[in-house]
Amino acid sequence: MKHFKLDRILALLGLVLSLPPEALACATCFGDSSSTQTQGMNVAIGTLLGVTLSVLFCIAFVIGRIILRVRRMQEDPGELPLDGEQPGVELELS
Amino acid sequence: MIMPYAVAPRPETGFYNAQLGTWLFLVAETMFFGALISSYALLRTTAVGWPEDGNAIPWLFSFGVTAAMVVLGAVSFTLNQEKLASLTRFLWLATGLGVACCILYGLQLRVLVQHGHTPASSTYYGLYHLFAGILILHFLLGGLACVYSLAMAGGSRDAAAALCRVRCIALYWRFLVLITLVIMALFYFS
Repeated sequence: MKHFKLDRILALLGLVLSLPPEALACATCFGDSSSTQTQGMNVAIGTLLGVTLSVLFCIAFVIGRIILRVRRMQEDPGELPLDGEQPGVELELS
Repeated sequence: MIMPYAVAPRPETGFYNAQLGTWLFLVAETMFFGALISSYALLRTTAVGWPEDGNAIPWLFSFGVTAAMVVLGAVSFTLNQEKLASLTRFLWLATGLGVACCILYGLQLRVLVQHGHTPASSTYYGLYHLFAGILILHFLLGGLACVYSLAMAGGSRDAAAALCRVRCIALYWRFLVLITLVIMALFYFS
């Protein structure tokens, strides 16, 4: 019984592996670089990558700016607010 | 209870609370519009029968929206960020122009539907309806924020807090000006 199951699995695997590449109907899976679908996907990936990298660059810039400010404040502790002297607004709690 | 850094910027970051929150919101919005524009790029490249001349959508309404946003953008650069009166005037202007843009977009979509150009008629019109609808929602959100802020500023005892709030909403409107111009460029000049 076990042999029979294994035979069926191997036969199915052999069938899948022997399929011609054209059977992968989607241009993305088939890897047709001249297809408009693939080109569109490349443009979309490029656009989203551009936006994401720009945002990440901005975040890195802000983090770098904060690090520089903290370093400058450590060099000149006079700029640091003392405990209990943080600027704030009074909130009314109902 | 004292809320720290509600009006004065935190020394380490240079941001006060509302400003940091607004920037984080704008980053999320940038990613949202980035994903939308990426989908636009994918659909446009693969679309069959994309209008070539850019005259598939009535110019008049789009021109009105673009002009309104250009005026808003230009005014935003002349603002005195330290004066509440200057920022409040900007918010009134933004609210008025935002509502006008919603009306113009609404009329434009109505004209398109009357001519049979529904979202289901083609990829081009589907995308245009989607982008216009999202912009209308953003204008409405901005208008609501303005009205809330103006109402609060009128009765606020703390002018500094009101100034911070109004400044953040002005920042959001600048972002909307930029996004509107990008979307117009996508549909008319690309």
